[in-house]
Amino acid sequence: MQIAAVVASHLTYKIGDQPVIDDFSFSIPAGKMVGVLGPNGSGKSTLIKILVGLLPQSAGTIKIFGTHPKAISAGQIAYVGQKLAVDSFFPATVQELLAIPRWSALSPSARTALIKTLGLAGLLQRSFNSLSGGEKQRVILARALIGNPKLLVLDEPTDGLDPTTRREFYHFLKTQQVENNITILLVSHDVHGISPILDAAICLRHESVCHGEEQCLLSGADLKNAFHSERQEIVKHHH
Amino acid sequence: MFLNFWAYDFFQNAIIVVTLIGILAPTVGIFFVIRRLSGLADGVAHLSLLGAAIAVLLGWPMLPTTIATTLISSASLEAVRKHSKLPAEAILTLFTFTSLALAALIFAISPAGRGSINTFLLGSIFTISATDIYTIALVTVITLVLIAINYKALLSIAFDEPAAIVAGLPVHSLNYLLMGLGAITISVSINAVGALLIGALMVIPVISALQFNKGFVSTWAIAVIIGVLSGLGGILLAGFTNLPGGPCIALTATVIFILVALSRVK
Repeated sequence: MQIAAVVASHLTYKIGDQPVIDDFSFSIPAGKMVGVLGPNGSGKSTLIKILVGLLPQSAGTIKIFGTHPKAISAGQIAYVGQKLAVDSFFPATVQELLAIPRWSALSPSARTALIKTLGLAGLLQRSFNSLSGGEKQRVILARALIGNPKLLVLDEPTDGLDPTTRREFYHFLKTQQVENNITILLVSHDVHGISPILDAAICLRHESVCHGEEQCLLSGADLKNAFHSERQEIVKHHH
Repeated sequence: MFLNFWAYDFFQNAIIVVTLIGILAPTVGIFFVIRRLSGLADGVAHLSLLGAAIAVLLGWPMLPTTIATTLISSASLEAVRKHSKLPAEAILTLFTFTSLALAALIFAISPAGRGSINTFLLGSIFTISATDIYTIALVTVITLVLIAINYKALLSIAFDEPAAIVAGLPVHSLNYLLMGLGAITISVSINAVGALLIGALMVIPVISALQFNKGFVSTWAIAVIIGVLSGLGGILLAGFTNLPGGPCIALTATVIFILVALSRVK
């Protein structure tokens, strides 16, 4: 039996006495693409920051591929945060940003193929800040994938991108998931855009954690797409 | 006239030292600048002044005392900044002015230190000893090696620290390495350039180089060239005018910054 990519047990996160995430348990099988959906302030970003070890949970445990997140070897988890604010003066070419030490696990040919697939081959000598929004996002995605991660976590990766670029981005993510068996956790407001590519979703609401069609704010075809038949197996919730 | 200067050992020593500091200061300073920590360079310089004051008061060897004080205070500063909910720049101000006030008081009560605070604030480039030169040369070589080994990781952290943490880079160790290199750079330089002005050589050549909008390695190389030119121009100015070396070096760096900025205006 394949080990689960993420197992969260009784996860709780409080700010002061106020629970943002309250006794939430779920597991995500390896190789799936799972959306983290919900309105602003529902704790989506908080949840994934806890999962990748950027925030300490108040209670509960997390296992990533059966291991504590901090014990995972370098490059196994990749994180693309929300709206990376890079200063307009930041001095780096695309090539320099892709020369990431220690966790660059791709073979040279796979690395070249990734750069080509993302359309970055002609941009390697360009300064990062001279790129368009879509090009910058492709560089950030390339940085995340260059370590050949088993788990890729993205927080609103398409914010600020035009619809065409968004669709291309989602298509690329789906291809990566299927071809390289990467587990992808994707936070997004763009429910319409991402629902066709999701295998499952976790829905969060204000002050409580919930999932499923009854409790989630989403409705209609998008939700049905987001929660197709594998949902019950993938997302489990206990209070 | 230049040839006359060149005949003196003190001038030759000054040339060597400003060349070394012109390389060293921007090499460390570029990481402070791209991480928006330029103010920290100045803050750490004030901490080093406290180290110099303690060394003068207790008669301890200057360089080890300054380096130790700066490292300990920098680590304390980092720990307080990390755990306090107060604004980081306000914590830095607290440390900066407390260090400056303590240093001024210690210089005032220390018989050996009376009147010497100006030397440490503004530097004394023409009284550099051979030991100072060897120390700065050693620190420059070690820093260049450490940065060459780690610059890709440091660049990754500066670009996207959360991604670097998640990917498993030793972010905390590298942050402390950077703070340590900053503390040591400043400690070895205050005799020459002064605690008030070493921050200028860590920051101004870098912001001049940033205006060329190049990649990281090119920006670093331009910053080093500007750092060395600022140092050499500054001591020539100081030599001809009999003015203090540190301020002349800092002002030369500023003039180069302005010239670069004007040349980039379209």
